[in-house]
Amino acid sequence: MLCSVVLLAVFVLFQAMPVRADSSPPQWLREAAAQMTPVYEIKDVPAVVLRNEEFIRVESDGTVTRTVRYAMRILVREGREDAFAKAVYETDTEKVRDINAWLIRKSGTAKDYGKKDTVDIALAENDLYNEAREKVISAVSDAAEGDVFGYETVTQSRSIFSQFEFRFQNRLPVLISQFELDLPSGWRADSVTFNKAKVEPAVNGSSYTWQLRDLPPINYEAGSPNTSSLSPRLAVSFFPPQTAGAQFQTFANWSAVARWISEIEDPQMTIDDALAAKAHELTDNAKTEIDKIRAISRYVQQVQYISIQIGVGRGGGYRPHTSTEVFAKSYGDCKDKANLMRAMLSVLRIQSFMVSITADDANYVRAEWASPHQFNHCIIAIKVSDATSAPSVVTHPTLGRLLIFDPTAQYTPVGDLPEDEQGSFALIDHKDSDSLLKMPVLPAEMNRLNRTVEVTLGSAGEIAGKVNETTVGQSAVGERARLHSLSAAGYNNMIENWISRGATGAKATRITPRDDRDSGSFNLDVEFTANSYAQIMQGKLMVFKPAIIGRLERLSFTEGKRMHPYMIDATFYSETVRFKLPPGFDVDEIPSATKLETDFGKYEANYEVKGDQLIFTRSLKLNRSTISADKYDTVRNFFGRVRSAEQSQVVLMKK
Amino acid sequence: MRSQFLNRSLIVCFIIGLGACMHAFAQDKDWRPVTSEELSAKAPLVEPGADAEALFWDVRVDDSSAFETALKHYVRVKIFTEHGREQYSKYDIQYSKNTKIKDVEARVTKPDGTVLNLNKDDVLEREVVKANGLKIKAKSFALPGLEVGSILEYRYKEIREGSSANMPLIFQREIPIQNISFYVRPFANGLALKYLTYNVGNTRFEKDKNDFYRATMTNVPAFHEEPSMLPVNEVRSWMYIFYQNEDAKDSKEYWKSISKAVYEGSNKSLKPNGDVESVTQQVVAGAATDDEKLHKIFDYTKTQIRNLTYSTNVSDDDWKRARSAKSGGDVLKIKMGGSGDIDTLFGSMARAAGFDVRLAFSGDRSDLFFNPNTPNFRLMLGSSSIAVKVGQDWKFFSPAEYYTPYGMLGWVEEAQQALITDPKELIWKDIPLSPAERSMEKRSGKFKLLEDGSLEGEARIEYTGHRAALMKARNRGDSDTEKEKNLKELIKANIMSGAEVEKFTIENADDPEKPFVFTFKIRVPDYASKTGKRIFFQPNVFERSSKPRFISNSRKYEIYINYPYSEQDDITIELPAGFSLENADGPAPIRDQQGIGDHKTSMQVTTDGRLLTYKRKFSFGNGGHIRFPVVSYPVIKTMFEAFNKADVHQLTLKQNVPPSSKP
Repeated sequence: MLCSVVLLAVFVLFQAMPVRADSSPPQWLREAAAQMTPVYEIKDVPAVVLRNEEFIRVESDGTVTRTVRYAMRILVREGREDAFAKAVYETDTEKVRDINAWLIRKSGTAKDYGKKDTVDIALAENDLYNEAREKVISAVSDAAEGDVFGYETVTQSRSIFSQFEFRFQNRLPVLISQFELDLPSGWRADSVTFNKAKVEPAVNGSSYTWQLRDLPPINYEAGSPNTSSLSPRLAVSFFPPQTAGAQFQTFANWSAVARWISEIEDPQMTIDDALAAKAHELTDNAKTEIDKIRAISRYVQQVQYISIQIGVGRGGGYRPHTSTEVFAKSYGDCKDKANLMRAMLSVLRIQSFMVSITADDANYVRAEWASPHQFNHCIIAIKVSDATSAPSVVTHPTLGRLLIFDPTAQYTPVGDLPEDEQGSFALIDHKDSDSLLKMPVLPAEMNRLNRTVEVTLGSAGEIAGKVNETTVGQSAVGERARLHSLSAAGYNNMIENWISRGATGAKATRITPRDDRDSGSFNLDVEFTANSYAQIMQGKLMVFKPAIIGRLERLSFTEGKRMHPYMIDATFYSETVRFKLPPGFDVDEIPSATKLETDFGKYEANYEVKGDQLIFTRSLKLNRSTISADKYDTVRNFFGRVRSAEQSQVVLMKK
Repeated sequence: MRSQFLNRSLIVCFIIGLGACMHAFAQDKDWRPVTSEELSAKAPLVEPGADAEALFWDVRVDDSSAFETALKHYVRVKIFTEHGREQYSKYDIQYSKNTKIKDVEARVTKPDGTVLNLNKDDVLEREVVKANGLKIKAKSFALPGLEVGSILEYRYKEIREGSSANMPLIFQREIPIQNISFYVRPFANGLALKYLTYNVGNTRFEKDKNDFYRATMTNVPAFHEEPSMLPVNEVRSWMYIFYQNEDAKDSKEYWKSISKAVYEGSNKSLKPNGDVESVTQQVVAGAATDDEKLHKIFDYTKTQIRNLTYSTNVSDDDWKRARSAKSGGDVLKIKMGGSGDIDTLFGSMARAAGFDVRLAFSGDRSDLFFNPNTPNFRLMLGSSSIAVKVGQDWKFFSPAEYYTPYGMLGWVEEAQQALITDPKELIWKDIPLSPAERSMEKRSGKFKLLEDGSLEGEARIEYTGHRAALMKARNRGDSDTEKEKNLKELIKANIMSGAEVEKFTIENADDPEKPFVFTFKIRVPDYASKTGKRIFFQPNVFERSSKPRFISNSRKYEIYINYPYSEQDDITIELPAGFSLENADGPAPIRDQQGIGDHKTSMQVTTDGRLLTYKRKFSFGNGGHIRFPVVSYPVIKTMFEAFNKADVHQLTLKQNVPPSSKP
C-alpha cells in the first residue's frame, strides 16, 4: 500500500552539493545532483533516485533509439550496490551505441566512467544460448554515502515490436520519473498505468511524456506482493498510420495478440512417424482420455529443459522449435515442451492449445494491456470431454472445457497447476481467442498434507516412532522435487535432519518414499529412534512436546508498521500423533485444546488420553488470501498462537 | 598433538623424466567402443546410489611444445537416475584469452544401442564476459536424446597458449569415477617435471606411449563436502605437477635457498630509514619491556597507518601510491598501504627498536597445510608474517590482519610451521595455536519471566580473539542499519524467531583490538510453555533454539574445527510471583578424559525463590585438539548432543497452592 508511506517534507539528510565547474558530468546530472533528499518514514532508505528517465525515438524506417538517463544519491552504505549503469540488448536486433557514467562525490569532485570500464556480459547464464546481453559499468566499489551516481545509455534497435514497458520505480524512492516517446508525425500512442491512477501524458504533436514525481520507497516485507504489483508501471503501445510502419507489429486487442502468437506457433507443430509412434506407444495401455493425457504429460515432463533463445527481437522468443526436432533431441524450453505435447496429443486426436502466461508472478499479467510482452512462459490447455474431471479444468467461453497443464513444471502432475500460475491471467493462443482467461485456483484441500505418527515413549525419555505422511498437490510437488533432485544419500540425510530438528539426535532406521504421479500424491514412511526426547526432572516428572516434527516455530513476521498486504497460499495439513506412554507413569498434565478461526485460516489442536496412549491431533487450513496491511496484526496473532500451541508440553508423573 | 591424526596424504616428489620427442599428439580418431557390460549396467560400481558414474575420464596434457600446452579431454559417463540425466545433460566449457577450445564432440548411446551424435551446429559459442582486455567465452552443448541408462561421451581439445604444465590434476570430482587417467608429456628444456600427490594412495606416474607418462586412479568416489571438515585440498585426491631445476637438491636444500633468497629480498625493505627510527623512538618511549615496545609499535601500525585492504572508499590513486612503496620508510611516509606494507613497516620499526626481525612464511590452514617435505614455495607458503626475536625465542606478528589482536595471528596461520628467513640457516618454528579462552563468546543477561510465559530483559554479547575477528570481518563495510539487521537475525535464530529486539547497540565493530560487543533489549512471547499449573522454561536464554553441531549419523572425512573456542554465560532470571521452582536440578558437567570439550553449568536461586542465577562455561579444542579421525565421529557427535542437551535443559515452575482457609 504505497499511500501508507508518508513522504515528509523535511529536507535535511543530504544538502545539495556544489559540483566543480571543470568536472565532466553533463548538465542534466549536475542539475539532478543539486536536488535535496527528502526524509522518508522508512528508516535507512539505501538510496534515492534523483532522476529516472527514458526517452524513445521511433523513426518511420523502423529504427528505435532509446536513451536512458538515471541519477541516484547514495544515502547509506548499502545504497552503493545500486551504483551501476546497465544497458540490456539483444545481439540480433539491438546495439548499445553509448554508455557513460559519472560519480559526483560528496566533496564535489567527479569521476568519469566510459568504454574502458564497461563490462559486456551474457544474461540468462543458465540458458544454453541466449542473445540477451547487458553492458554494465559499476561504481559500487568507488561510491560512498552522499555521492551521486549517474549514467546515460543509448541503445538502437530494429525490433518488430511497437510496445514498451516502463517502471516509474523499483523499490528506491524517486524524485522525478519520466518516460518520453517521440513518434513520426501522424503516429499515435496509447498508454495504461498499473498500480496507480492513470498517468496522462503531456502531448506535443506526436511526442508524449509521462511523468511522476516524489515516489516514496517501497520496503521489502515478508509475504508481501511482488514489486510488480506495488510500484507504478507504464505500458505504452504506438500505432503507425495504415500507410506506414508496416515493419512494426501492433496489437489493438487480445484477439490480435492471440492471432499473432498462434500464427508463429502453429506451423511449428510438426509430426513424423517416429513422434506418432511414440505417442501411440506411450498410450497403448491408456483406456480413458485422462489416462492418455497423463501418459503423454509424463513423457514431455521428462524432456530435458534446455533453453536456446535466438531472434527474440524478431519474435523468436515466441517461436518453439518444431515438435519433431524437440522429440528427436529430447530437450527444449517451455514452449518447445508445450508444442511437443500438443503434437503428441494431436496424434491421439486430442485437441490442445498453447497458452501464454507469466511464471513466478500470478498478478503480473493485466487485462488492460493487450501485449505479448506480458508473458514469459508457455503452458498448454487441453480440450477435454465431460468425462474428464480435474481441479485444473476451466471453461473457455468458445473453446469449452480446457484442462490446464504446465509441462515445464516437472513435478506438478496433470490436474494440478504451479502455485504461481494459479489465479493468473493467461492467453489461449488461438485465432478465436479474444480475451484473457483466468487460471484456476485450487482449493486448500488440493494442497494438503496428512501425517500420522506412532511413537513409543520409553521410561528414560527415549522414543521410537513411525511417521507416515501423504502429500497432495503443490505440497507433494515439494516432496517430489526433493526426492528427485537429491542423490539417494542426500535425500536420506535430508529426511534424517528434518526428524532431528524436532527430536535431537534422531536416527532414521527406514525411509520409504513413494511417488504416485497418477493420483498426484506422495507418500513417505519413516521409522526413527531418538535417545533422549523427553526430559526427566527430579527422577519423577517426564516432560515432552507432542508436536515432534514440523513445528511452525520458525515463522517470521515483519516488525513495526506493516506497509503492504500479506499474501497467504491455500494449504491444509492435519496430523495425528499417538504416544504409547511408558509403564510406571501417569499423565499429570496435558495442554488445553486450541481452536482458532479467522477468515483466512483455521487451526485446531487437541489432546486426549486413552488407556496408555496420548493422542495429539492438530490441523491447519489456510485459504488463499490477501490480508490488507491494516489487518496484519490478525495474521501475526493467529500464527503466534499456533506457534505457542505447538510449544505446549505434556507432563507425566512417576507412579 | 595435531599430528596424531595426520594420516591423510603421502606426499612424494618424483622426477617424471625428460627427453621428449616431438611425436604427433595421439588420440583415437574414433570413439572407443561402448561395451555391452557398460550399456547393460543397472547400478553404479563405485558409489551405491550414485545418479551417474564416469566410466573413464582421460586427460592428456601435452606440454612438449615451447609455445603452448595442449589438453585433450575424453569422458564417458553412465546415467543411472533422472537426477543424473538432469545434471549431465548440458555442458558449458568456459575459457579465457589465450585459450582455445577445439574439436568439441559428443554422443549419446541409448540403452538400446542407438547412437545419437552431437551435430557440430549444436555446439554454441558465446562470450560470457567481455571487458577491458578480458574476454571469457564458452562453448556449450546439450546432449541429444539423453535418458536414464544412456552413456554419454564428450571430448574436446584445450590449447593454452604461452603456458606450461604447472597445474593441479584433480582426480576426485563431483561424480564417482571408475577410472581416471592423466597422461603428461613434459617439455624437454632442462627442467624436470615433478609432482606432488595428495590422497591418491599408491598412484604414481608411469611411462606410457609416445613420451607420455600416465597416472591412473580407479574407483574414485565423488567428493562430498561435510560440515566441520578439513580444507578441500587436504581431503580430496589430486596431484600437482610443476617444473623444477634438474639439479634441485632435497627439500632441506630447497627451503634453505628460498629462505636465503627471501631474506636478501626483504632485508632492504625492512631496513629502517631515519624517519622510521625517529618515529619508532617516539612510539616506544616509556615502554619498559620488549613486549611493551612491540605492543606499542603494533598499535601504531594498526591505528596510524591506513590499511587499504580493510578500508572503505579506497581510490585507484590510493592503491597506486601504496604500490609505489618499496620499504617500511615509504609506507610510513604515505601513511597507508596494503596488508603486506603494514607488516613491512611493523618489521622496520621493530628493527629500529633494536630487535632481530625477519619475514616469515607459513601455510594457510584454510587451503593446504604446510609440509616442509614438499619443496614448492607457491603451493606451500600461503601466508606471511613478521618474526621478531624476543629473548631467545621467535614471536610472530601481523598487524596487517586488522581484526586480529596483539599476540595472535589469524587462525589460518596458527598451528603451522613457519619458515623464518635467514641468509645461512634453515629456521623452522611452530606458530602457536591460541587457546580456547582467547576466542570467546561471552554472554550476559538480566531477564524477567512473566506469568504468561513471555520473557523480557536486557542482554550483552561479547566476542574476543578469532571469534571477534570473524564477527568484525562479517560486519565490515555494512552500515549500522545493516549490522543491526544481521545481528538481530542472529539473535532470533539463537533465541526464538518470534523475539522482538530493540534498543540495539554495537561497540567496537571496527576497532582492531577491543572485543566486538552488542547489547539489546528483548521480549520473547511464548518463551516458556505453560500447562494448567506449571511453566516450563529454559534458563539458558541464549541457547533457546540451539541444535547440536553435528546432525548427520554418517561421516566420511575427518572432523576439523578451525580453532579452539569458548563460551561463557551469566544470566539472571526473575521468576513470576505465585510460582515456585518444582525442580532446580541442573545438568551434570560434561568433559571427556582429555578435557578437549568441557561444559559446566551452575544454578542458584535466592532464598525467596524469585531470582535464578545461571552460569555456563563451555570450551572445545582444549589442548590444541582440533582435528579428529573419522572413527571418532560417533563420540564427537554424542558429545555435542550432550552439550546441547545440557544447554536446552528446562526447569519447571509450579503454581503455589493458596493456603487453605480454616473450616
